[in-house]
Amino acid sequence: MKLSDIMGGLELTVFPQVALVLFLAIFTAVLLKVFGRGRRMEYERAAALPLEDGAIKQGTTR
Amino acid sequence: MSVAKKDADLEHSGGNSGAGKGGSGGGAGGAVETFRYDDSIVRKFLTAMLVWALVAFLAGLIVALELVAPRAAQWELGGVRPLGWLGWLASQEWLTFGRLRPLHTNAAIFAFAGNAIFAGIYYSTQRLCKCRMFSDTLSMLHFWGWQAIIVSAAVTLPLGITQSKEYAELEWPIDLMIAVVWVGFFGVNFFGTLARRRERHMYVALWFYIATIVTVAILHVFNNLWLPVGVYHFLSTGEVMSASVFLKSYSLYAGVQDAFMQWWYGHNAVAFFLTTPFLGLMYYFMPKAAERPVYSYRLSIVHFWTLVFMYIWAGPHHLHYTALPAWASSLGMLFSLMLWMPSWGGMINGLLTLRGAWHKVSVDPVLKFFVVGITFYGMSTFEGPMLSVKSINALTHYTDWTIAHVHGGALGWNGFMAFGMMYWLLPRLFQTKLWSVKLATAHFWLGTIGILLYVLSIYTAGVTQGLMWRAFDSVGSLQYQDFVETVNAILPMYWIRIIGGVLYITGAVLGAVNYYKTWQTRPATYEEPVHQAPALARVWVDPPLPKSRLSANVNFGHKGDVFLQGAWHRRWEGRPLKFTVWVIVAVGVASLFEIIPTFLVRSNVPTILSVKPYTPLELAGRDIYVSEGCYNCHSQMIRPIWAETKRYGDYSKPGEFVYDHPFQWGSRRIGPDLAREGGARSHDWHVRHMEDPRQLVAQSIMPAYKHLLKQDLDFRGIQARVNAMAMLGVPYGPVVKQGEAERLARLQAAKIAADLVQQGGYADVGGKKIIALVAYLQRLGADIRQGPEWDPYADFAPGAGGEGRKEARR
Ligand code: HEC
Repeated sequence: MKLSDIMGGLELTVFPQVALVLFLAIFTAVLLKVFGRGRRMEYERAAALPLEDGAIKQGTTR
Repeated sequence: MSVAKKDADLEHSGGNSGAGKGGSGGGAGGAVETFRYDDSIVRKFLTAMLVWALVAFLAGLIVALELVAPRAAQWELGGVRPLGWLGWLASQEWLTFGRLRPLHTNAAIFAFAGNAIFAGIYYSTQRLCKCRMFSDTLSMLHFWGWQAIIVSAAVTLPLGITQSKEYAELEWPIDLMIAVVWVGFFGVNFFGTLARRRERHMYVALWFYIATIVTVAILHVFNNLWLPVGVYHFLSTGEVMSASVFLKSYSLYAGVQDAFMQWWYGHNAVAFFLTTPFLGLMYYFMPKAAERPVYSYRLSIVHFWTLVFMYIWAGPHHLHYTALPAWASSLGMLFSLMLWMPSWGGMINGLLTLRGAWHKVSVDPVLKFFVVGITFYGMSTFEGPMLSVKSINALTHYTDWTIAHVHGGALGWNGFMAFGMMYWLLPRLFQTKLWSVKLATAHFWLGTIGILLYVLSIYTAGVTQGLMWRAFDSVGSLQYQDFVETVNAILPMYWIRIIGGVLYITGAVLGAVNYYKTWQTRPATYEEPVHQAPALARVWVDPPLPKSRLSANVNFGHKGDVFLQGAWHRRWEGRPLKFTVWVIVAVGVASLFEIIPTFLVRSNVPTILSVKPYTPLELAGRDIYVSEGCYNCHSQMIRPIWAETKRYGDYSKPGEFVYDHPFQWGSRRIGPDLAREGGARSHDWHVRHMEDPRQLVAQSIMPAYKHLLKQDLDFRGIQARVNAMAMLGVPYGPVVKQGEAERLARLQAAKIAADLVQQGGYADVGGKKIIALVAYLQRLGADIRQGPEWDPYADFAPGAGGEGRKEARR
């Protein structure tokens, strides 16, 4: 019996269902996390990054 | 160069002084360093973007003209044919639709969009990282390497050197070049820059770039696993074959699995080459142009992770109702529908960045381009999920609706984001004023009207043709029996598309003029402003985790609460390596979960005993079919839909494609499906039809393939083709014996040539390419009408397939 026979015999069609649940769970987790109680200030600073353009600004570069 | 080098030294010596450790959060630890950005590489990529944009659009215009040309050339006005010269377009070997359309798509995606992405990434990454690119040499290698790839594509595709997998047509030597340039030059340069950055936090645009680089590399490698025919033959026999055999390769996968890999790739190329990098650009350049931060940084995080996790699943929606297992296609549909949400989240995020600045849109062409571009992103990402719904897809698949969909995306989203970015960059890169705002505004309007004319007419064409294919009359037979009727019904729409295309191109030409004029007013030498920023500390101390706000005494609860406060993600954002690993995990896990079952579950591809390998001559003919790009107009996949089985015959079964390396299912029916073409017409019909389709079907828009009746078939090279197939597991038995393939091919060719003469056809085409092509066409879909023990060689060399035939496959 070849390996491919063994693998072929496994009922792998549950894979996609498992994965679907998994990914929905991750999606929900990301949502919860990000909109949960994040640090507002942190995000604000991050969002402003493109507007800095490299000029020196002490204390902003953490 | 010297500046960059000095920087590196500085960082090396000063990096550990650790002044700021802990203090201001642990990030800004090193001594203050000075550096300059490399804008000359951005100028190069931007110029290349514009040049290739014009080439890609022009190629598009030519292929669009080719579809109307044959009919237009016949048009008579008072005894003269004013458009007769257009007929020329549809009869040039190197310009035929099948060869030129891949050039158009590749140029648009990899040359135009590709160079746009690189320009934007090189500009924004340096600034977001407060760091010059890792290596100026790698930047140059990346730039010139990529242009070399594009040029070799532009040479090989019109010559018919192709793998025939959509958007992955380039043959194996170019595939290798792509891998080296993408990973070795671009990837190393980008990640090297991240490693040297002086800003701890990686802004969201950078995540999108990371996902792009990593995922495109994975996609490219796995969809391009091939066996080079000539190289394999040389290694196993020492015999050197012709250049076309040397450049030829066969996909390791066959049939259903090849189709699955291809559309896993094809869809994700859209996701990770045309979507994520442009979103990265949007998250950088939109706030720049609007002069305010992105509407919601949180939304951008959600946008990113959901795209990365979900896009990779959606590929199977390209294969609804085909021989793909039903679970896979349902899964593709489900994830496609889910994708709608994050995509619109992104669109809203982009548009609302303009909050309080909408008045600027009326005066600033950059914002105009961005607003319309992002709106098209929203439209396309609504339409995509809609088209992936099986019952809608049953109508739209194989029609022009798909073409309209991609042009909304490519011209609207990618094109307008690229041009908007160009107009924003021009004054900054050339350190002068934009030559003409009016001209840029004219570009915007021409482009917008152009896209609208294009997509609206092509939607109409798609729906019209789709409905005509499935229309029945009162007694239950097909209302439009003749396929060509359904083609002619939409030709007026094709003319409107051409007008739309011309407008869009005119806009781009105005852009080029504006570019050139702006460039002319550049200073004699570019100023290179010096920037300063402290280096990051070598040792990064995470800010302390937030304290749990729970008072109960359960450890797990505390941990959970800390987790929920989201500091983990902020920590990741500071760590490119971890971040990258997670992106790979997301993409990899999704792909494996999806692909492994398709490859391993036996019942997915039930064996059909009467399906046998192609004879050597048919195989050579198949390679001609691939090389001419017939798949650009013809599908070979009859769906189990009443209107379709009625028109084309029994629906296609997965087991029929087990020897198809690569698969040829196609994606658009400009001509009829050919899956059951075998035996439907005489040899003579095919030869005359290929010579000039208008001889038999007056209204046909298929190109003439006169050259196939003139060019000699390379009989000797067939052995290499057969042996490579045998290496991939196709049971060729004794046919792999040196010289046997050629002998059999000559026998079969002689038989077909004799039949041809009997049918009253041409007498002088026995050794020409057309014979092999006819042999292949006559075999298409014919196997399942045979008994299990039938002999494909019976007609000209009974039993030649030997025992190999019987043990069939696996
Ligand atoms: C521009 C698109 C286009 C390309 C490229 C093209 N065809 Fe066609 N083909 C058509 C159209 C349209 C028809 C229907 C009208 C007709 O029969 O000519 C057709 C019809 C056919 C038919 C007749 C089917 C039947 O039984 O009625 C065959 C066979 C065929 N094509 C083979 C090929 C082959 C082989 C190639 C590549 C060498 C090719 N075509 C390339 C558009 C195309």
